[in-house]
Amino acid sequence: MERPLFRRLIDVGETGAKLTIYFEGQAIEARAGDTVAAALPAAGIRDFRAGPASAAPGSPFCMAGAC
Amino acid sequence: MAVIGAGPAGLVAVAVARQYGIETALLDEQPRAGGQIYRNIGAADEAMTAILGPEYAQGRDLLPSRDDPGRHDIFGASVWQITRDGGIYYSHESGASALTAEHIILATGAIERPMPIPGWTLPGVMTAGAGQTLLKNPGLLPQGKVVLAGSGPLLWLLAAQYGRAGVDIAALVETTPRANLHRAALKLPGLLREGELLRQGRALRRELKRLGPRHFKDARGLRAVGEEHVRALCFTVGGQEHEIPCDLLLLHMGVTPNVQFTRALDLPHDWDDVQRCWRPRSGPGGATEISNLRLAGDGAGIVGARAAALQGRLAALAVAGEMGEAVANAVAEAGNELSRRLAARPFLDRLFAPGAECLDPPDDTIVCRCEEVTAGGIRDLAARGCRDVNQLKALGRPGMGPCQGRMCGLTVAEVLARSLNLPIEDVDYFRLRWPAKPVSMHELAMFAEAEDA
Repeated sequence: MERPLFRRLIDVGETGAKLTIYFEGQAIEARAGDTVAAALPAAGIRDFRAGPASAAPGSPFCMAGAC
Repeated sequence: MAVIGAGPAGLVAVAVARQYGIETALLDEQPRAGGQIYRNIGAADEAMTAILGPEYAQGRDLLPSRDDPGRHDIFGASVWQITRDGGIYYSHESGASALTAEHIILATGAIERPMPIPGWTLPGVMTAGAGQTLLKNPGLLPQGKVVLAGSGPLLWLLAAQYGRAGVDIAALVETTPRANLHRAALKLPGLLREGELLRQGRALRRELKRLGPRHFKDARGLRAVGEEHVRALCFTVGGQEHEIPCDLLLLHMGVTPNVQFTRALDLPHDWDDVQRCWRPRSGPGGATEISNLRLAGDGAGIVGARAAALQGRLAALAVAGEMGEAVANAVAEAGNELSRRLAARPFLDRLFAPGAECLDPPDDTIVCRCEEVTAGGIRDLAARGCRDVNQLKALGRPGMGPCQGRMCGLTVAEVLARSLNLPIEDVDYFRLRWPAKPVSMHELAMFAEAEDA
């Protein structure tokens, strides 16, 4: 796993509960209330998906449910 | 009365309707009220509001102060269809639900205008709005080298917010063409009428100067480069080439109305030549050609949070008026304040109007992110006789992916119109169909069973 692009600011928005999610079989620490799109980059996951035509790596873009 | 969208317009519409005793349902995708601008405001602590600033903290005033049995706020609700007779269909807690309303106010807000540049689909490239969203909830700050690029007030605001949080910005790369300044200057008197906005803008600029990130202006030919991940932003200023290494590139090119619902409802839309976007047609109180369906806020044309709140007020007052309440004075008062708030728009719209490069990107730029259709691919189809965006969609697939054209609709039309040398109205906009958001077969099947029961 690479160095995460983001770090958590003094637990703002945290409801307290740490939890483990699995991405491609890999255990990742997340917080209750995280969106998946926020939890993965916070844990250092950079490549989320392969493009439908080129299979190029891709990751979340707008974080607002538009893209 | 049902309100879709819990940003400033929707929150005020509900609050005003409740003052007149109108029972309300408020639906929003997010887990809490606030919309994009006041996202997570109800849960933000002092440390967070200190970073996000006083304009964000103003959002607290829009939250309900006490429990109200006549007010039904449904959060985490993704509305995927509404009907002309008041039906609202939505996904909530892993199931599909429906309600009917006598009046609907659509307050679905804005989305960021796509800023297609070569390499913008690389991991590590996001929008400035995305950076701000991650800060508001769950409170993520970038680490490593961050570059902000594009045009618009949000770029300055995010740079300041990151600065307050101690994030170093490697560079702020503004693409605003110098010519925009001259066009905007003619509209300066309007800006001077909206004192609050002018003060905010000046304070932000002072703050940026103090923070002192490398600041480039009138940048051209932006390219995100990297293989598996963005490595640098390349561009030119006055013919000189620059390459700024970065781990995270945040792009922004202003915001445009989210027209997914109004398009799917087949409402008429008018082209805004300054902002280069479509606006659903609406009249006083947000009235549309569908009786009992009103629009408020940025979804009806970009106005900003303060004006959006006033439009929400006016839409709710119009509903109360139809129910026989005496609202004339309140309407006049809100209308006056709205026109003052809107006075600054002609200046802002011209200053931050998207430049030609954004509207007509180079051939190798991906325009449709979902289906990976390039600007060159669109020009090829134009050369082969494609005359409008819906024909183009059928032949080349732009706009067919899960975002339903939100990220490419405007660019596809601009590229095609310029390629054919036609007015943008002639190439039209994507015909949008329900559902407006992805909905699972499981949800639909469970929903049908519940309806039969």
